Amino acid sequence: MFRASGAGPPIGQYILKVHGRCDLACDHCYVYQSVDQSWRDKPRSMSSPVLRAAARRVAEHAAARGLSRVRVVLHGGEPLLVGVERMRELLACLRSTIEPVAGLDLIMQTNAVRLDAPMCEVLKEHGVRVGVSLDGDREANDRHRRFANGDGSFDRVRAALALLRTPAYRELYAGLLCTIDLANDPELVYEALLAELPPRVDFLLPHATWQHPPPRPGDDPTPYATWLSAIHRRWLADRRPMRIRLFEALESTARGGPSGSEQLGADSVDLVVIETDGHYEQVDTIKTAYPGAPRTGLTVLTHPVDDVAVLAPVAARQTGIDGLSPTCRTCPVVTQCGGGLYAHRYRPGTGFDNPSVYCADLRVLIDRTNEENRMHAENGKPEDTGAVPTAVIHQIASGFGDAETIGWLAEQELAITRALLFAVVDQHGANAAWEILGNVEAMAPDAVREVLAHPYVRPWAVERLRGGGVSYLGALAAASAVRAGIPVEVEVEAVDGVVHLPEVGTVHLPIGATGPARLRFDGAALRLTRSGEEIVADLSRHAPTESWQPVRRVALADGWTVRIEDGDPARACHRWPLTGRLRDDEERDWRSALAEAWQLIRAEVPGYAPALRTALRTVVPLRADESGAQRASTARHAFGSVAAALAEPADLAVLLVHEFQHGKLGALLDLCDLFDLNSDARMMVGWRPDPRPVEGVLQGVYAHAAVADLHRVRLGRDEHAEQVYAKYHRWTVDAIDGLRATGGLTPLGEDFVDRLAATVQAWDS
Amino acid sequence: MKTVPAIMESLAEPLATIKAAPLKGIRAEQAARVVRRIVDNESLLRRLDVAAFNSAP
Ligand code: SF4
Repeated sequence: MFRASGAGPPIGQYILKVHGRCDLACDHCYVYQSVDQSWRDKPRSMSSPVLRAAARRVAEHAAARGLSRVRVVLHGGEPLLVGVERMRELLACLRSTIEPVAGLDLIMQTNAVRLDAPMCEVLKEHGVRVGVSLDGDREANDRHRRFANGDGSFDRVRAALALLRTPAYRELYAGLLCTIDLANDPELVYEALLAELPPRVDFLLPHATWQHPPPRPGDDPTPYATWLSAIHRRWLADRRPMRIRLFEALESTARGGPSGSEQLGADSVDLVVIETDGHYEQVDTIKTAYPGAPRTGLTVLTHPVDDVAVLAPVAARQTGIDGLSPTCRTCPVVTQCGGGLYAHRYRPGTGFDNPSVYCADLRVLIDRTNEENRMHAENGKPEDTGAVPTAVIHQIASGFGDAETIGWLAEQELAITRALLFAVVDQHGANAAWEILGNVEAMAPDAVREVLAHPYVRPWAVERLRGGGVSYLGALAAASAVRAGIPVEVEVEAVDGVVHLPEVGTVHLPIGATGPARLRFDGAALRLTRSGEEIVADLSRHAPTESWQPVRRVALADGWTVRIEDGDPARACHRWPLTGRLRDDEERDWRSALAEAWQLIRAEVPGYAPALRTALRTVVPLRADESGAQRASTARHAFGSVAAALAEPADLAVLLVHEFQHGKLGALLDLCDLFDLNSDARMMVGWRPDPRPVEGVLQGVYAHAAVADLHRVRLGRDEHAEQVYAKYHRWTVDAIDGLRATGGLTPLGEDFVDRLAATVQAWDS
Repeated sequence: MKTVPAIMESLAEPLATIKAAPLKGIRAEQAARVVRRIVDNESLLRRLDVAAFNSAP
């Protein structure tokens, strides 16, 4: 094998064949069914010395080339065949050797038939993400993916996927890999894949070369394009419900971006395979070309990665379009297609210097998807294409937001809560309460909306989806029915001595009472039965009793109604201690402080008032700090709520404005990325002693700008205003400069920060 | 392993469908997208790997 000149390209991806055999005998597998049969001579699994050497070679190469991240794909054969104990050792070895030098992304590609909870624990411990091979519905999958005895693998794979969807292991689930077979109905395949709720799907064209072309039954000259286009159209019509790498790659390359896939595009391919015996090889799919095609003759025991990187076949895949065949170089779609998968170009005589054997299909597929994407973008409303309205972003970025903008954000937040509620039921199973909620919604949708807009429904749902929490569904169903005036009987859950019905009120039980209770509403009175005792609340009287506290609504000037929330156990997501149930005098103090604070906000900083009036629904009383310091907090998942210790009205006004800024920005951050979530950037800020991540700084800047603004207005009227203004103004301006310098903002985030900076600058004039 | 930011999505797309549906008519896959974003903090800035190996991730 001859060498190319120079040091060769840096290699960032390693396919590690940790086990050389497979427990399925799929007849389309490129490892076992292709012309290259070298697997027969390899050891069954990778030995410890080979593994250690491989890990050292990867680390050594990353250090020498200054790679900040590398990816190791555990592959086979079937990697799960190594078993739990060996898997643990293997992962520990890879991490301890590579991570001191470079970030390590660990991925496993598996048939998943052996994936069980103990294995998932090990994979979770080491942060391995799992891609599972599934070819579609039962018929499609079991057409090829069978055990040696002929049994299909579909049920075993689905059981593994169900495990990967549980809260404990959801973080492992990377996606599905589906090999195309024209005998399968594309829509049925799409639906079967979608039913597994994969974060991501990739389609693989069957292995083929010009010497062994793919089957093309029937008259259609481009049946693979036809098959994939059917899925593309359905995917667009369904609003892209899952990520499909092939289609994302085509969208990206259509705009001149990278393809992110070996199958398409002219991205340089920086990967090397390490066999079970330690040999470096070219990627496996090249096995389909000719015997020994992937061999390099080098091993991890004797050669550094650099020696593989300079080999001509590896280097040839680095040269982009210039390295393609003359036909491809003059092809109008070459920037999107890139000549297709390297292995598919092989023809005896000319080697890989040809277009793909799928050329005709690729050409048609690319033209069609481009056209379909264009039509979808033109015909859809902005929301259909996933855009957040520009006006919303601009208004929030300015620091404010009118009623329409904030109302739009609140609608999105409600939709998020509804989706999470649905997901909770999907995860834990439907029950009578879910039925009731659906029925009430059909009769009185506004009642259900009101209840689900309660800010603490989402924190509860998030906790539930992470595997904790108790059932709140009964309470949501009961509250909705009561709001709609519909008689209901349902099981509810008491938590720490209360049963809370959002937007209705709280039943107070003996302290600490926890567990199921029965709740009945006859259209006028609520009856809660627990352990043989009954508590009755006459809702028509709107009066609190020892065991019943109606929701505490505070109607303020200018149409703002806010609730003082001292009952819902789900509010315990703020980082400060909460008060218990308020006494009458405490409620009176809160009511008057809120009324005065609101009056001040309207008079001093009316620009912030529409947002509060539209979407701040709830104030949660916190226990006062013993030293008298102010306390307030916003919980990331509780849009529409602010927690605070009671303060003087002038201070409460600042706390409400400040905290609700976090709420507005949090709601926008739910919808779009203003910063790169994968960025490790940290920066120093004036208000904290430790370096902060980009999100923390962005949140700080956004809220502090409002605090500065409020004290700017108080200059001359409040003796502390000048000092406070100067401090917050400096913090804000410095942190805006710092944010711009981190490189961690997205283009949208940069625009956002520029707009906020413009607001702050305008104060100087 | 190089990744490049490629496509910016927003959650507005699945939410538009969810808003229009009754609770029981929400599609599981749309809800799953929301869960990945909100509960699992998934990035909407789609980074595409530069020529990643053909495996699902
Ligand atoms: S469509 Fe055919 S000719 Fe054009 S780049 Fe792809 S393989 Fe080459």
